[in-house]
Amino acid sequence: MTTISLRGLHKNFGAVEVIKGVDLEIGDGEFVVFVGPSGCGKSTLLRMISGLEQASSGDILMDGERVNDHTPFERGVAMVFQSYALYPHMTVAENLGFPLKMSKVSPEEISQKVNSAADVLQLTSLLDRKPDQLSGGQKQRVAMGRTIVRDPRLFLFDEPLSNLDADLRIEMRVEIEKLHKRLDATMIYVTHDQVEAMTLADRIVVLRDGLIEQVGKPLELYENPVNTFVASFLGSPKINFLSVELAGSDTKSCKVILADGSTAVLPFSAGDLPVGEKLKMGVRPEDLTSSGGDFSIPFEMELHERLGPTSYLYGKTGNDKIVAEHRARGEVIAKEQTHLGAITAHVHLFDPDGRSVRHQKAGG
Amino acid sequence: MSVSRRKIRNWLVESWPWIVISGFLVFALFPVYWIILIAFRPRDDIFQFPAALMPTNMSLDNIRYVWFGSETNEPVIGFLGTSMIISVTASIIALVFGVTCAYALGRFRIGGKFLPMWILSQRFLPPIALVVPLYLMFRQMGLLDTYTGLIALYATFTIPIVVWLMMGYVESTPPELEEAAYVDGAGYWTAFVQIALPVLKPGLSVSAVFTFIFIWNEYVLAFQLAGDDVATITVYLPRLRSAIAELYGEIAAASLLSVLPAILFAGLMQRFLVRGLAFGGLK
Repeated sequence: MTTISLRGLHKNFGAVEVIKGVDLEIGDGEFVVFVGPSGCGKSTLLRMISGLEQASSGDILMDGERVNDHTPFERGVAMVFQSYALYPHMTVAENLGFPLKMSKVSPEEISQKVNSAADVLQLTSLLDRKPDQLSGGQKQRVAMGRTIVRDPRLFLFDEPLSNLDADLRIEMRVEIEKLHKRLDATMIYVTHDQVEAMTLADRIVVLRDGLIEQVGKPLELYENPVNTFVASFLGSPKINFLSVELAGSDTKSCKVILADGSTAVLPFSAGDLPVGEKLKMGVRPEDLTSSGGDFSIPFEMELHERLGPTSYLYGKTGNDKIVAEHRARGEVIAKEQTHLGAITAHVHLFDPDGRSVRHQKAGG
Repeated sequence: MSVSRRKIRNWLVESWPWIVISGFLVFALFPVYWIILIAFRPRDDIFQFPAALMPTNMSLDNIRYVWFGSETNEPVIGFLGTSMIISVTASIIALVFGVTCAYALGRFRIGGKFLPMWILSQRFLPPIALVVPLYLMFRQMGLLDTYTGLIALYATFTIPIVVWLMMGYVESTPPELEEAAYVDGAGYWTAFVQIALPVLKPGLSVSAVFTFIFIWNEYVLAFQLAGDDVATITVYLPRLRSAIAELYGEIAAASLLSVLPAILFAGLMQRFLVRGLAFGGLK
């Protein structure tokens, strides 16, 4: 049973404020992924939770107990580092046994636990090797093994897959998922890879410039981003932003004018935004169709990429670049596609500050 | 004709680095060769003119005189022993303090940028500049002609070298290794001793070789601060060039014996100067 509460966390490195006030509750057994661009503070936040970095202010609570002044070991955390951080002068067995040795566990018990961890992670034949005799994937497994040998309260992963090639990354991602299912432990995972975030997380925490932008289940964030940052961070290819103008709004719907002067009625209110306000309409590439849809968007095609199961149409609408994704394999794409269809249910609207109009209404 | 010329030119193009290196080697090693020749020659042969470039009349007399002593000189063994005790002890002290200091400076940024520079500045002055104040201090403290005095002095002089050498190694090893150890339950000291030090072994070997050879070869301070009780090998050598006789054969023999430990030690340490150990566990 491990719950984590972060309350008003701040972290300064000299004059630079890296974490600017983070509040977050993490439930027992939850798999939470911190995601965000480089320098957003996600790794610093993880290191603060681990105890490797001290919080400048605010509280870190584990199971209700304030642990700000506890060492990483006293907090009972285990961590997988981006660089694996295997001890180069120790064998795999010694690496796996090191945390137990530090806990003064008897040699017999160490050997038994090391063997069982090695068994789970298919490392048994490698126990006598040194880290420099292992492949990237094997090192990764040893690093994971070192975390599971001592039943930690909390698992922390700091971009653990970023040094692996694409195939191995998928394989290890599945291993981590399995590990979470089997141990049912609380895990916090840092990545800048949105695919890892979407696939692994029970909940995603999107960070930017030391602040949480949005917390939620992966699909919730994908379907209902609170702002243009979250909308563009999740999803590949990125969401399209089209310049539109508000033509009118009532309690249930609003009407916008597109680049070519045509209009679209969206199924949510624009609230108090004045008519004539310049807004951004967000449409995900997969929500654009070559024909049909609730309304049409003028489109000037520049490139058609065929990837097999999907193909991408690159082009422009007005001054905005636009990408459309097509899943239908046999679909014939006209060389000069002049319009794309869009489904209003999946369209987002953002005010001039980048905040989601729909979310503001939904949130009250 | 042209084929053979081309062959010669090709040979020259390929082998010019070796020709240059061989030239330098002859230049650098000839004095060593000459010392070896003199060490194993009887006195009369040393001064013959023109000098024979090849070994002639080889004898072990000079080595024997130096090793066991003679009416003109003391046996070398005592001086070698003194040098060994002082070099080893002072090197160990310098390494212990230097490495811990370098770790604190490199890893925890203690003292900011100022402290490492200040430590290095200790080596800006040539040792000779300090001889007079050191002599007065040593006399006042009763440290002249003592092991304690010389060991303390040499340790102090070599700590900055160790600090600067080791700081580079500390900064180039990733802190994640020790951080992983903290997470695994190690304290600062355990992480330093059990994780950082083994990873820093190549740097430690380099520092050990540097400090040992520096101390072993030091003459200026030893000459001023040593005496009859505690004299190092570098002080012994000039004593052979006394007013009574210039014992060139013995000087050469003693010189040979005096460089052997340093060469042996450097050779031994070379085994540990393996690179890449630090990075096996990462990426």
